[in-house]
Amino acid sequence: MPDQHLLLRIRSGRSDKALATLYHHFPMVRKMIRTNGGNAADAEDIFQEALILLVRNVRQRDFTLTAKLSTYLYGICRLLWKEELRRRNRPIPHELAHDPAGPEAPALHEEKEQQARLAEKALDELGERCRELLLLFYHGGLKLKDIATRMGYSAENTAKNQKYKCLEAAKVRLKQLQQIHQTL
Amino acid sequence: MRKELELIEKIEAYLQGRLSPAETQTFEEQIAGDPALQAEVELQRQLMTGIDRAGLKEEVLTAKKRYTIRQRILKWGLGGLIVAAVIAALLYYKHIPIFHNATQPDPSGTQQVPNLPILRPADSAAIVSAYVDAHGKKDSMLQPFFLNVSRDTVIETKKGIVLSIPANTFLDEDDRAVTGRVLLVLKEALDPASIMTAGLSTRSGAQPLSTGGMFFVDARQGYHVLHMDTTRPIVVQVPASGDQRDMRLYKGRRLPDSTIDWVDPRPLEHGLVAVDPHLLDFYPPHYLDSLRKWGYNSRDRHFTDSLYYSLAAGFHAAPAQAEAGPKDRIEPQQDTAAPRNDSSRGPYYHPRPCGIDPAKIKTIWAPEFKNTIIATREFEQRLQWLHRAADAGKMLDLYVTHLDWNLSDIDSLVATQSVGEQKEIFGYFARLHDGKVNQSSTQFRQLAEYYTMKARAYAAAIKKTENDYWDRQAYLDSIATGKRVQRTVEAGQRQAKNDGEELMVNLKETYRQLGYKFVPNPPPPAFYTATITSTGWYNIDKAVIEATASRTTLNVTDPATGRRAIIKYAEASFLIPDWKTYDRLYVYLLPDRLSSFMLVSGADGKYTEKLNELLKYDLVCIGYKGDQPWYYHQRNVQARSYAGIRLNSITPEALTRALNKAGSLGQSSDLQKENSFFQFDIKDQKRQQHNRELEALQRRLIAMLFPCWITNQ
Repeated sequence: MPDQHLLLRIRSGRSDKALATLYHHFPMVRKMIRTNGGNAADAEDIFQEALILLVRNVRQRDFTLTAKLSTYLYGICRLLWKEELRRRNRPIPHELAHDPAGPEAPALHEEKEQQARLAEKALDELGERCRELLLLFYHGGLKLKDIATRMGYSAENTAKNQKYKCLEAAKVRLKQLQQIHQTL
Repeated sequence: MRKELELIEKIEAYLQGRLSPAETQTFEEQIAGDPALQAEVELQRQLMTGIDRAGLKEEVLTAKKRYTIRQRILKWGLGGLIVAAVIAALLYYKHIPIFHNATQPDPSGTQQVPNLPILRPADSAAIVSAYVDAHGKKDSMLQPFFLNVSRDTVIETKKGIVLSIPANTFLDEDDRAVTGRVLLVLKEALDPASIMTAGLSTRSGAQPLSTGGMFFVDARQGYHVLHMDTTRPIVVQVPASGDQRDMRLYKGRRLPDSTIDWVDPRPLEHGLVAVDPHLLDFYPPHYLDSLRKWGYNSRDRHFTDSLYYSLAAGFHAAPAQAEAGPKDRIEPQQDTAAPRNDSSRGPYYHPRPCGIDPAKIKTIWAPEFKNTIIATREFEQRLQWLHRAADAGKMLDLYVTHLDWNLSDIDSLVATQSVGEQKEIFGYFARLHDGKVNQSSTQFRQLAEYYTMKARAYAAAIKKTENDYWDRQAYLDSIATGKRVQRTVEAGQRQAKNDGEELMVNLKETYRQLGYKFVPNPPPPAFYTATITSTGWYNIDKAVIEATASRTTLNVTDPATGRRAIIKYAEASFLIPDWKTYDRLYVYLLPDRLSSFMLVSGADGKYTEKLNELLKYDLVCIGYKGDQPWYYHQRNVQARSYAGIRLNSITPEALTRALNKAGSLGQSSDLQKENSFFQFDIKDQKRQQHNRELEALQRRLIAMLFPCWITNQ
């Protein structure tokens, strides 16, 4: 699938097929990480994190692709792995240390990502039904009526109330997590 | 709805842009005036991002599943995939490839395989369903794989056992390598539950075993049971948990009572994983730590490498002895203990082999050794001990010239050639049974040859570079010495010229005051020798010369006329309060009637000189802080004390221009020369300081890294 089609799909919220296509670049990333001190599990984590970042970046209004999408993805993976090595206090291999900051080199907003990861954690800790409800509504874009039917709520209004309760609980938990994170 | 929930709803509408412009404006004004509300909005915004992220993660995991399924289809074919999906992964017993049909009794009288399937024909997915156990039931533990045995294949079982199967390893009854598709059947039991479910024993004779897992391998082509070419073994990697160092590999033997006894234990080989050489540390122990402690940048790889490799110059012709080729690899090269020859610089010699020649380390720390035992964490551990081993270079050679051996075998070799603690340490390493990195033996042989050649080339190159460097420094030293001598000579000449000119000024004035006409003596064509018996002109001239030389006031009376001549000298002093802040500081006087400058002597920021009342003087001060020049100029200084002189920072170009304007043409030219010398000298002092530090550092490192070297300084 050409890059422009992939971008179009990601931007229009139909990223599933685009992600499946992009997953074919995984062996290349796995090789890079394995030759630079990581293992296959590290490669999986980094690659998946990179895909998430890629989708979120592509959805930004001011995003412009200046290289091939695969190059961009590979660039994110290299940056993420370099960060991970730093976090683990491991030496940065020469190959990564002298990364040219070309136009294809993406920017990482570590603090923002950290906040997003905390929010994700808060969501994960909510319980499966709440998580599903919020994901279906906010990420899946389903209507409350359909969600009520799918999840077995008696009425659309019940689903709506439940949604706000879940959101409230998630906010409380996120606040707690942020406080814990700040004190660490 | 509760008030809190209503707020959440409002914030959500705002974040999603569902409020009207007027509502948005009002809400934003509220946010601006209410920090608590601002925090709530921000929190909810972050939560939305988190939800989006969680959703994306699910999409990514779905994409991964799709990708994995697709890969499996490509790898194993649809039949293999379906089979792998429907068969529960369990195992049977630990068993290195044996390929006997259950219907065939083992020559030893024991049955080798429990539940051995009775194979029915057809080389297809149907063959799997035909695989039944001795009781005619389908064996749900089987994991079948169809392989093209003409090429190397790697397969991974459901529980993570990885088998690396070389091409053409399976043989038929006539010991001919089979081609085409082969059915490989695996069973695995890696956890206690699986082992118990399979009814497997964990005893060897009467002795209980602690098992790390069991597996069974069988290969068939059609009706034919295959066996293996023992020269092409399958490498099996079983997932390990906990310390596996003492694990052994046992072969399963079916006893007449249907139980299995585990026999023929042998040590496990631990396959090594090669890593990027840059991630390894091949320096001697404490090298980087010490550099860091001594204030050097130990993270600058370029610096640490070049410093360490520069020490190779001390190993006189070390690798040149590596004449031993692969044929006599057990007796590899030796580091020569000869003292350095006279032409090589450096204060060291070593009476016996000591440490490892850094040129050898440079050779093995290269991409060429990327996929060998050298580029492994296990070798890195050993190298730390090798650095301090007796005959370290020779011991290292054992590893490099036996790249195709198991690491533990080389450890044994080193241990047998060692004594004392070294023997114990390498004996310990040998007992770890670390294996090797898979690569063809041809490549290893080539690498061993490369090592011999490259280590020699590096040593020669490093020695040459080192000698070239110090030769160049010696040449620069001689140039610097020459410049300093030249400056001293020129200073003497300048002084003599100034003295002569000032004497002429003084004589002229003295004669004028005494009422005589002064006629400077032209150089005589020849000399007549005469004896002086009375005082007169001779004494007046002598008095002027003495006063000029000692820079004291002249007060002389002509005995013939009784007239007096007086020329006053009076002291001027120049105080520079911040003199301590300068690396070098010079004070000059530029007399208007003399052709060159006078260097004013002084100490601790106070400079004094006696001024001749007949001359007018300009004052010039030049200071340097590092490379940065500072400058001060004052016209027509008088015989008094000048306190608080402060120099101004100036660019080198501006200083040149200022000096060009200072004093007469001759004076400015001399000052320029003087300043050029300073600039040269500043750089040269730095160069010399760097060399002194480098030598001291090398000496310090050698004392630490190669303690048996003896310094003769």
